[in-house]
Amino acid sequence: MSSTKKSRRNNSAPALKQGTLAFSVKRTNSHTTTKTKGTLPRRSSPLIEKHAAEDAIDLEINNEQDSDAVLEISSEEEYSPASVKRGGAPNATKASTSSPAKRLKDNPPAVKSVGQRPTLDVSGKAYRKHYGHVREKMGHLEPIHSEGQNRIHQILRVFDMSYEYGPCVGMSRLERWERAASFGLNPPDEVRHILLTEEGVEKDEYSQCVLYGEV
Amino acid sequence: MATLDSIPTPSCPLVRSTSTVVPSTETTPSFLIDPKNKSYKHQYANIYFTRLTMLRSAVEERARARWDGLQSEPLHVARVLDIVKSQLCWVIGTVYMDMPLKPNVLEDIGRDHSIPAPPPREKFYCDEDSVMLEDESGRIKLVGNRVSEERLVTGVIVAALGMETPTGDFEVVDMCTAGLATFAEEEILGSDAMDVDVDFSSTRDEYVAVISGLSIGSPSPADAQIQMLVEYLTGEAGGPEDQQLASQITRLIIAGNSLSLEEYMEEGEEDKRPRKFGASAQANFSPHPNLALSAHLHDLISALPVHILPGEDDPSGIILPQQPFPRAMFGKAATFESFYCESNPAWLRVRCDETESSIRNERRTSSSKSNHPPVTRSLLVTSGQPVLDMYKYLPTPPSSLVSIAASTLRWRHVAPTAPDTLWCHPYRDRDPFVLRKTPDIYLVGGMPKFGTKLVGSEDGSGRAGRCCRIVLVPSFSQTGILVLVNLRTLEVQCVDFGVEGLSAGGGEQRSSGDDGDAMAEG
Repeated sequence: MSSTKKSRRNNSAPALKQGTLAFSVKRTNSHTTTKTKGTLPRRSSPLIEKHAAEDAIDLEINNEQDSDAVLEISSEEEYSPASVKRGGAPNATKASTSSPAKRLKDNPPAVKSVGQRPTLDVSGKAYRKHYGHVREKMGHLEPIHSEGQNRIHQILRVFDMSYEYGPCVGMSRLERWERAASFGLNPPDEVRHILLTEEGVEKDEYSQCVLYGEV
Repeated sequence: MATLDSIPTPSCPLVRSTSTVVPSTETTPSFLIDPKNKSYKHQYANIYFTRLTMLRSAVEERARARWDGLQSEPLHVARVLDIVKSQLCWVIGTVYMDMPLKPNVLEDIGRDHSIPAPPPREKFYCDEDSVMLEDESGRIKLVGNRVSEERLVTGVIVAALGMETPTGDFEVVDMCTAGLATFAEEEILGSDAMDVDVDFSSTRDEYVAVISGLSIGSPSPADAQIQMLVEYLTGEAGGPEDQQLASQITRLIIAGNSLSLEEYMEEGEEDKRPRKFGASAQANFSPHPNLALSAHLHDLISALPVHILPGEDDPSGIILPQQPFPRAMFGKAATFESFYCESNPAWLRVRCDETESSIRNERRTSSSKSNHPPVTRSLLVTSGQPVLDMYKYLPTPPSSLVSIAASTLRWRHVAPTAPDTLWCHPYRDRDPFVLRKTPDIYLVGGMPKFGTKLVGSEDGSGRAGRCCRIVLVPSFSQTGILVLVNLRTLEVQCVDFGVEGLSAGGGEQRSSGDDGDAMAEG
């Protein structure tokens, strides 16, 4: 919900009488830019409101992106000279030198696809049970040469090396999962969940098989 | 002076029967390769995995039905390596034939290149062959007389019942394959139209004509016979009975080898380069064979629908499944809508339409229509490369080309030797050669001789159930035979074209196999 604060400021911004629209800006990476203290992340608003004669519009930025995948919609960024503001706190707008140009420059790319993927929680509890199965399959041995490899790597590597789902070379893990599912072999759902997260799609160490680049 | 008898003419002009091509369903196998699947970076292990996964359940079901009631209670083991010593058990896997005479790429690389390569062998089998059974975990060697009786080739999915010997081999007592799949089309109800009005119903059968091996462009072409064939199919040649039969031919299928690979010998060139592993000899390119073929096709297509498949000698790519010819190759013939370029192999669904009486005297009653209900048939057509490749694996006095083709139906796979000795596209997600349903008619082109057989399911009575008709279509340039398959009754007839003094055709062709009657007309 948008709660736009109409703060009258009497500083420099020229009298832009043109009505401005309030829209949400999505940031994909959580760099804290101009934050002063007390910035609270707030939910973004799907509503577009038109405000008349407004300099400062507070926009709500969602800095964290987990577990809210469903409600986000794509938003476009409009480089209007009207004050596009970031930051939740009103005192962030103090700097009058933060002219629109500067603000535009460090605006993050706001285009976000529909259905945002959840982030991968490496040490979370979601995959504990499955990790137990994986360890059992490996005979409860500690993996050798596994510096820098977390549980997710182990789960996915055991999925690769399970021969009942077929050869793993030459295709991504998700493609192999889909193929196994279409043949009715019941591949584990947790693996699919991992592969559809943000990191699971973008990073090669999760999305491609262990032998990727080596064979 | 005796007057000549007037030439008998039919009371009303003959009309060609028609049939339509029914669009394919989702279970119809498709052999076309999309542009996005055209990548060659996948390994062939994927094909073997998908083949085993697709056929394993069918083999398991049949094996259970066959072996579960035995007294010794054989055990089913899931992995090939888990077989229990000294107990009867059965396991499912893929057959691999380890044959020293098979073309081996390592030998070819290691060969001394100054010596010309030996010509390709006709048969691979020898006494040192061994048969292995493989699955994802490993492989075991199969021994026993039962194995050689089964006449296996590489790539067949079987279940083997037996016991482990002290040396670690698996001695086989019995084997079980997947058996015939369910038939693709529904059973025709009320197909006993033979008892009513024999003379009318016998004239209204619909035939599909199949030809293979026209070999246009070869040094000794069968041009006269091809011309006769075209005239016969368009109804211009022959007497009233011939025209009667020709009017019942609804479509023509050309099953491969329409163009010839042989070089047109220029003066002085005597030796033909030996082939390596199926690579085509370099042919001097001459556009005339293609123009001649297009001209013949244009004559044919204006009379009846034509399907053309690429074959081993055709310019379409050496790996199976061969993709359809580009329509632009055929010039004017390509402008016809009823001209179909098919892949090799191809699955066609053809429906004979309800016949309407073309004889004006006959009163059209509802009973005459019900004699000929529309019937849909599935045809699986190949240009013969899979069967010819399997021919090299097996000694042919016990086996024959017909028995090999019948075995492929029982194994539910069109080309089991596909990645091993038969060149194949690297599929990743599926194996398109697996037969999930059985066709009604299985046509194999490019064969040396004509042959036919009816194959029914093995369980229960032999012929009472539904049968599939296998037809081996011989090469036209050598034998001059045109094969006609009746779509309703699955009977087969041959028409033999020969010209006196020319080599191809016109001889005493005896058709082998059951239920085939050959009608030779010179």
